[in-house]
Amino acid sequence: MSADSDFELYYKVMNNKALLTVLSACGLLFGLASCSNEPESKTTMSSRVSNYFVPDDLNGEISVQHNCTYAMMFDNIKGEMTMSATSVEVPGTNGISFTTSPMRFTPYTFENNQSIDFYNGEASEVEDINGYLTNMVFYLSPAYDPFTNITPNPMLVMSYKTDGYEVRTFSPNAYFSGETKTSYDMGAGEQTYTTKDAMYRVNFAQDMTTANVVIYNAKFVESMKAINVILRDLPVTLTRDGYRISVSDVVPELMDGSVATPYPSRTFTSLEIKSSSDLTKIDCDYVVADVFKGQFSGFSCDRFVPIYN
Amino acid sequence: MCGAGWLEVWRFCSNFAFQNAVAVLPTAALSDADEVTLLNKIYLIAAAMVAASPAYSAISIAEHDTSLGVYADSVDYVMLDEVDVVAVKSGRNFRALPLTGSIVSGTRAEKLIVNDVKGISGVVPNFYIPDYGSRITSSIYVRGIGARMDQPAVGLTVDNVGILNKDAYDIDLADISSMEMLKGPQSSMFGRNTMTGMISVRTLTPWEFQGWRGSVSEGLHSLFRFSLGWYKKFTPTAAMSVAGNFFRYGGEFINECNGKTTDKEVSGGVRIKNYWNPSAKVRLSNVAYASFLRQGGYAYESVATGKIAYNDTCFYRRFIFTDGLTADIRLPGSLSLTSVTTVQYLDDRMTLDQDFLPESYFTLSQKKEETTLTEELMLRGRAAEGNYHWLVGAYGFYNRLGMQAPVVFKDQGISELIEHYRNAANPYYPIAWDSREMTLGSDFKLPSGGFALYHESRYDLGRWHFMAALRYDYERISMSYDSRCESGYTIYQNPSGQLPMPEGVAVYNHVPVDLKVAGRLVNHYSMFSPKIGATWDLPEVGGGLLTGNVYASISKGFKAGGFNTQMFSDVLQQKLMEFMGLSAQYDIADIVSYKPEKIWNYEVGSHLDLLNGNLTADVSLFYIDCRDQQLTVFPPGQTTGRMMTNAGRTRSFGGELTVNYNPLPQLDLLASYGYTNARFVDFNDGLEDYRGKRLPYAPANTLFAQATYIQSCSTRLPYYLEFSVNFNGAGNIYWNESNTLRQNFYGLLGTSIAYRAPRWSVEVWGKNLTQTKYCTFYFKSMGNEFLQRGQKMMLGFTVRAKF
Repeated sequence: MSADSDFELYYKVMNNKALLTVLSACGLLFGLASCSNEPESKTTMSSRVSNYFVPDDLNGEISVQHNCTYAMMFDNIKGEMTMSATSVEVPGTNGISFTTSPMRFTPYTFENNQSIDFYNGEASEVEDINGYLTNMVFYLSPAYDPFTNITPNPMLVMSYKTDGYEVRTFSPNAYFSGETKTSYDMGAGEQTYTTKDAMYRVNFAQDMTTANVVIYNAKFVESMKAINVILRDLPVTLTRDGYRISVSDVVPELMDGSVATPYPSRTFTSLEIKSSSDLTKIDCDYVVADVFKGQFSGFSCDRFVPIYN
Repeated sequence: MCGAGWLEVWRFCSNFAFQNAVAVLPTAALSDADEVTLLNKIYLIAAAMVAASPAYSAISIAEHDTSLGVYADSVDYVMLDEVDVVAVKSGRNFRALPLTGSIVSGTRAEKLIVNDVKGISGVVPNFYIPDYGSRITSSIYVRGIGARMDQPAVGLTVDNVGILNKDAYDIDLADISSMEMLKGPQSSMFGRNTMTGMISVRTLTPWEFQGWRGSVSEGLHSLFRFSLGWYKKFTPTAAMSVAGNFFRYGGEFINECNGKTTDKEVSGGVRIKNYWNPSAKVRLSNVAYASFLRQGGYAYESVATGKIAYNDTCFYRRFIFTDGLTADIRLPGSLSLTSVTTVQYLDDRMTLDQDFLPESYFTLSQKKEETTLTEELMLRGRAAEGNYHWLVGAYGFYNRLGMQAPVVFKDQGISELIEHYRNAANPYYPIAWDSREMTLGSDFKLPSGGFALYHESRYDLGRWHFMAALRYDYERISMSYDSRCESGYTIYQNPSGQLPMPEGVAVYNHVPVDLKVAGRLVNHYSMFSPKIGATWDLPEVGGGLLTGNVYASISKGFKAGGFNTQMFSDVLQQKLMEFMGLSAQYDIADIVSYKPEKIWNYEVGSHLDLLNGNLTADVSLFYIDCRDQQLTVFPPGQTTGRMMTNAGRTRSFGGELTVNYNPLPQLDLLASYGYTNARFVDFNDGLEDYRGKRLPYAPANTLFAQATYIQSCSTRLPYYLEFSVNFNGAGNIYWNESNTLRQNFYGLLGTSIAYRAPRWSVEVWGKNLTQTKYCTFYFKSMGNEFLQRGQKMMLGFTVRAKF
């Protein structure tokens, strides 16, 4: 296997056909999938995500709704799209539904991924809709995943305002990829080890009070074989700026075939996870067995950021 | 020296040699009584030779040995009633061609007690075949380039049958007529796996000899060899021969675990040749050969203990059948068409105590069944003026290989390689395997096929002779693999974390293991192999004092790519580790696949005949550029088996010199020397950079010398005594890529003394008379170092008769 770039080597893109169809219709397909010769004039797509409700009231509570479906319709000729949703369970309402007026979208192709940016969307019920649609990026899944497998939906990252809340969409089962740097001192002075192979999964419970965190391909030193680490039922704090996980002395589990087995010798002395406000990025700091200090920062998806000269 | 003086010398030497042979005999597998019996036989034979030698006179070696050592006599194998395919392609006298070659005649092979290809290791300069393991192992190194596994770097043809599988190279042959070695890439004519040379073995034909001939040999360590052949020419156009041989060897190296010898062997074979020339223009021949073999093998000594000691069975069993049908048709206009059709069948089984330790770690049992069909057509012609010769050919083959290679992990292996590793990582939840034996099963099917087209042109222009050749090969190989492991283990809850876990700990859970790695890989490649060369005939000097030629050539060769099946037990083991919570480390396709290896050979040399043919010399200088070299490495850590990898790039340069001198009619002197400087240009295995290091397993120097003297025993009758002494040396040989371990240069002294009559001969012989200690192989497995020592000394006698 050869890599044209680090990106290709370490990341696999879950290609979504509808997304690619839109891009191919716009003539911007980057050769990752076949496309029809005739662009389709309209393309529909849907994304099922969770909603993170942040109240305008600074003292208000954060709440979450799962399994909310947003439907998008792209007019590829006009370069416009509409966003629809039904039963968005905004607290204090019986649920709202909306369909935006057409809004401009801009497709981007970059590295080995694609995204569609949309902005300034509005409807009578909602306003200030901004976001992007992209493919999730994550490292190749290992053979034994302790939880449900990832569903290949496109990642909808969006925020809008309605009825006293800011609504942010997110995935309750996101995989984060990036760089993990570990430092340790085993008697020969402080040494460091860096890897991009490790991937972090945050899998929320339905009520969002706890989450299971899985670190795939965890490796703290060069000579160590990569392992998959499960940290189960970690308490979660939801804040205006994203969610937080802060625990100490957690015994991880490693998979023995289909059996998750506790590994006290690899106790996480401390673990802190902090997400970004748009919930697409996490920063993770941990100490394992009082020896290995790990730092991770990674994204669940990539967004193209245009540079304007 | 007068005749009586020579007799005294002979008597002194025989007394001295045999008395000292008794004194230095090592403790052998034989009882002392057996040794004494054998030595008494040898001594009696020697004494009989002395008694039967009343007088002497000078005779010419040429009268009794028409093959003067390593130089081809002017025999045109195409003109004889048999067709030699190698001669068809390379020409009747390779000394007229831009290449280096050597011929070991049947007579010289007898003097050197050579019965197989390994016997000429070192006799031909820069040609080295270490004797280790078993007869499945034929690791041939030429000019520093070779192979330990899978595809060979040197081709082998036996009586027109091109042997495709290296596992069938090492066979005992009776009635060897000649062994020819062409060095340098021969791929332009012979295709795959002739990257560094081509060996052609011819056995006796009923055209060369009619009647019965047989031989019996006995030697130390219960060595017994018997051959018998019947050769009959029915008519001038029809002939047949049937020859069989049997070999038994008791073994020299003892396995301390069971007190038995490890290197014992029983083997035999039968060869049937049929010749029929239905017309003056058509020649047909068929050679069928079958052989069986059962041997212990694997006299691997632990470096740590200095002992050979392993508790599980090791043996190698093999059955080979080959049949080659050759048809040669003379067409109008100086054209001739030759067809060679071969069928090859190999059925073997190798069982190894793969850890080679007294403890029970794991064993391997590899069973193969292989069938190969080949067909080759060659059309030759020449221009009317006779100065342009050409040859075009087509070749096709189909090979089907089925293999089962299960690895059985035993108690110690499960305990130390799986449980220990896993429990050290989690002593609070340790495991215990359900059974103290676990099988990693692997089945493979490897069908492959290919075709080739080739052409060669030769043009003579006065003293200049030019040649150019080009061959195109296409091959496709696929591998279906099915590796599996069905087992299970129990996880316990051990609150104290103490290991070994105390009695009575609670069960946490049970994990069934049902792993399967199955799939199919396909690979194909094509290759062009060009060759160009030029020869210039030297002007004759002094009416025969000096004749010869100088030459230069550039040629390309390749070794086929393929799949390494030995890594699958390792792949499955890593899969098991992944199953147990540790990620897999291997990508199957990357590890088991290897690409073709390619070399470019640049060579200059000279073939000289001096002193009216009494002195012949061949000299060559070469430079080899090797890309994608296939190297065998052992994976890091405690794993089994080996793996192939394509190194970045290597280069080799050196030279060879062979001199044959007859200062007296009855004295023949032969010497050959080869030097090779083979190093990695670019090779990093991910752990270490080996740039500049010498290639392992190939010697930097080979040195061979032989002196043969003949004395007639009768002025009226052709009886004579023949004395021959030889020296065969090789080294330095590095055992690893990092060049931290090596075998220094070593030499082996051999001798033979024969009494020859027209219809019978008796010979006493010895090898490694100085009992030089040397190693032929070294490797590391699971962190343990092993080596195989060379044979200490061998003494024996041979009686031959023909009638």
